[in-house]
Amino acid sequence: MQTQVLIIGAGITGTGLARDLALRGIASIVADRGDFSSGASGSNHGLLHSGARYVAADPEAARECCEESALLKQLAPHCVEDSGGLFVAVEGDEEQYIADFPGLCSECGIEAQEVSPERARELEPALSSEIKAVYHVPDGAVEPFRLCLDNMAQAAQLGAEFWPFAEVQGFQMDSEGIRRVRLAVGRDGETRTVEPRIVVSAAGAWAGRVAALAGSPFEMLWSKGTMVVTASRLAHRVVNRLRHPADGDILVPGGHVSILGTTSVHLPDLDSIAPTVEEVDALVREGGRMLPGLESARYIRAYAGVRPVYSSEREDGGGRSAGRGFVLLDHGEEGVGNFFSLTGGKLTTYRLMAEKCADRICDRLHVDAACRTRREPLPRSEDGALLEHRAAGRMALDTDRADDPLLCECEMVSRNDLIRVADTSARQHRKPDLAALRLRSRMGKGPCQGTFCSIRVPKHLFGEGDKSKQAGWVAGFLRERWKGARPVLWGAQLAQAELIQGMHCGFFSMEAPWNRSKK
Amino acid sequence: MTGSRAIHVDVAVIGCGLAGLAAAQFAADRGFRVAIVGDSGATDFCSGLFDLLGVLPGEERPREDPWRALGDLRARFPEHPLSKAGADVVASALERFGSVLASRGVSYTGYGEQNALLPTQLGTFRPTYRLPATMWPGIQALRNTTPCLVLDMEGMKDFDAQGMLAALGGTWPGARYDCLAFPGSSRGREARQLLLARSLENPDNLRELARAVRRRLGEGEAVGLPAVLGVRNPDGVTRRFQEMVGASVFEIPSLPNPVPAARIREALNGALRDEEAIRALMIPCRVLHARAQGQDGFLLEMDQGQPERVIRASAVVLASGRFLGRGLLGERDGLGEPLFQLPVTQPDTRSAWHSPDIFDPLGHGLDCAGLETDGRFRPVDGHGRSVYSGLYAVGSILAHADWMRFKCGAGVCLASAWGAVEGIAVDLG
Repeated sequence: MQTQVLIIGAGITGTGLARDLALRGIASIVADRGDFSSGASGSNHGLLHSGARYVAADPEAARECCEESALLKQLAPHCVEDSGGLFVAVEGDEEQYIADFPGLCSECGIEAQEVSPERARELEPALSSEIKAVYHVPDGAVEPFRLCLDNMAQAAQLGAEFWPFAEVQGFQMDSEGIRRVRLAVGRDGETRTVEPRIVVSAAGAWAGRVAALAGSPFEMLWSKGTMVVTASRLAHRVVNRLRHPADGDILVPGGHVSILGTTSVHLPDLDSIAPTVEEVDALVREGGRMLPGLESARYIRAYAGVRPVYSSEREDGGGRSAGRGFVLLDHGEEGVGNFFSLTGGKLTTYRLMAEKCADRICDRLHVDAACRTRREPLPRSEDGALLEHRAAGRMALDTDRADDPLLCECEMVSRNDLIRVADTSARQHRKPDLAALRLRSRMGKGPCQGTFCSIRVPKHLFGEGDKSKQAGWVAGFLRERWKGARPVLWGAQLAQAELIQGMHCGFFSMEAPWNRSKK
Repeated sequence: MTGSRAIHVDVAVIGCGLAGLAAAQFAADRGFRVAIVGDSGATDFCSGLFDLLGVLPGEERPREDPWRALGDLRARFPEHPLSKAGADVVASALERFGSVLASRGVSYTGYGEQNALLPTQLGTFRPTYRLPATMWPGIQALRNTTPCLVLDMEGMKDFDAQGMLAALGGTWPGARYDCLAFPGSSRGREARQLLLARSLENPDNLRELARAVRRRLGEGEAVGLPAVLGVRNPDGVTRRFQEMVGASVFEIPSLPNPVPAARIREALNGALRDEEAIRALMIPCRVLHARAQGQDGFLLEMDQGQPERVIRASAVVLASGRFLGRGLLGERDGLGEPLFQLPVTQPDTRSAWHSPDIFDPLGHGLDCAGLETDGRFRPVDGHGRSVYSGLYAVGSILAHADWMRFKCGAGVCLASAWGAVEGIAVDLG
């Protein structure tokens, strides 16, 4: 199979690039060894950075964020909540940083307005009475899964293809560069060969490994970030700690929940990215300085992602770096003429990363087409519609009907909703199992974490053939949910854990060796 | 707390799950004045199956003989509540509780002294010792691969007859699936098991359902359906239904379904008010505060809604369950018991509470956490001394039980209730 560009990685970088290329008339295939957003794009706090967080350490990244977040608010409003954000300092925070902050913001073009602590507590009653300085900045929240799906949806409409569960096995090289790419596709690992003119690795934390397959390895630093999700929303706005970025100093609204982040731990490898009890405790303790309610809040899960950080001294030589926040490596210098690595960066600046990379690809392909993503709105696709937090909108009594029962009662997701999601998934060549449905909707994401929907969905959606394998699917689904639930099991959530175990272990006996071996 | 409005009893039971109900029954049997206080708590998620001892951690196969397994348990897990109780107590408790239930039309049966292995709708199998007689013919039908019609009901959210047969694959070749509209129900409504079960206590409704079933039934087929054949006297309802259908009928255990728990609760409720004599007061509210007053026994304060808000009792049986029942509280810095502030045996750190794998066959550290007791189920302190004379703890709140892994839930509840009441009988003479 031939294509103009093969993009490896279906996170926001890869799907954003596919859309940018598609709008310039360039065809692409986006292949990922997992589903979409399976790396950092699916495990970040969803903060749409105004840039204020970076003004001291990285003004260039701050300026990029400032410009790009304003563009996203304008062009993809359905993926964004323009909540605004506060930077708050509490007793003991460094005076100099507080004093420098407004000036640094203004140098980067970020509008930071001082707010009195009294006024701030009127705006956000959950703030601590210990706050001593507050600034308002144009931060916001973004729904990263939806952003990914909508980018991919428009790209697909214009001819791009999305291949989930397509893992690169190897590159066949010639004197020009990569000639053929061999991929193992689907659960059975069917081999497909693609002949692309250009290959872009958008594999995030895994970018170094992909490059190694082409004989041009580079070093990445892996920084693990853990976040926790509250059961209800604690603040209207994003709340940041007014200090040098550190652990537990960002609270971002995510629909009807709040997300507290993050930690930053250097990872030696990518094998264990599960959040830990210690990380969660550290977050809650630190977050409680800004919003004391975080100490007593109910949390429904934690999750961890890996920030891909490019760590080569080569960054300064040869103009490989397209910006301080992200890196666009042209592997032509190592003799691989048609291979780029696009990594690092932030969710907020994904569009800019795609633009820069697509510019370079156009040069290489001798295509004369200007970037259109800077002006054209991102269309709202049906694919991501069910990622909306919609509980409040579905309170009408007649929603829970036998012909369209609510299968996920926590998040009010009905059978017909999931049938639509299953159609989307199938269109994306992704078998609509429980994991695929969860990723494309809010199913299983509420307080019960899949206790009930895990058995209801097979009943109402699956055919006989799939039902015969349901124990394995349900087990896989609950195992995945458990990774995030485990570190936040205290208080009311511990009772939830007893319920899920009581049903699935106590009754269904999914843990029993004789049942495990059957799967 | 005004003494004049207090309820005076010999034994106060806190918690009305299986362990609490059994303790109240056993205490009433001995002629004590009993009060049982509690909301339904976690019992809506009780399967209705009576597990005794299904497997020991690390074993690859379920145990066929739970009595032999009890011996091995005693050797390997001497602190397990069933090891403390011993086989005789287990047997007495099961027999007495079973006979009370049977007298109210909720009888239990099984393979003599053996465990039965039950299929679930996910296609997994689980051992249990005694199951409701209404479910028993299903076990035999599966064993003999009798042709069978397994029925789902329109609007039923959780029970999945088709899924169960698909998951069982070829192990039940003669079984087929069909889905019925519950007679008289309007389309588009959720079919809630508890409402169906109550409505089938009415013979007219039962007859209509039987008629609908007969129309679909093939020659020689047995009929399986979810547990909906009455809350009161399911034995009788099932027998009548069987006659009306003209075929063997069985219920299929599944979760979530509040019917099995409601049956046990109502049967005990009836038994404890036998022949117009109230043998135990059932008070459907929560105990908010409890105080031990030395020689004067215990003082329990209930939440609002009861004219008499205080119970004075000579002995207390704590059957308040785990986290769902709020018998135990887990906070970020550790576990506690909220009523008497009893010491709770627990892992050293929260990281050790749960295994990274929810389905770790060896279980989670937390599932062995709970109240430490002596051989008579009296909570003890770190030195093994009883904390309060006259205080007993029974059921899932006990340490070292891990009912989910051992498949020993009912066994622990009933045996510890029996053991505690034996102790109370000694205390109170």
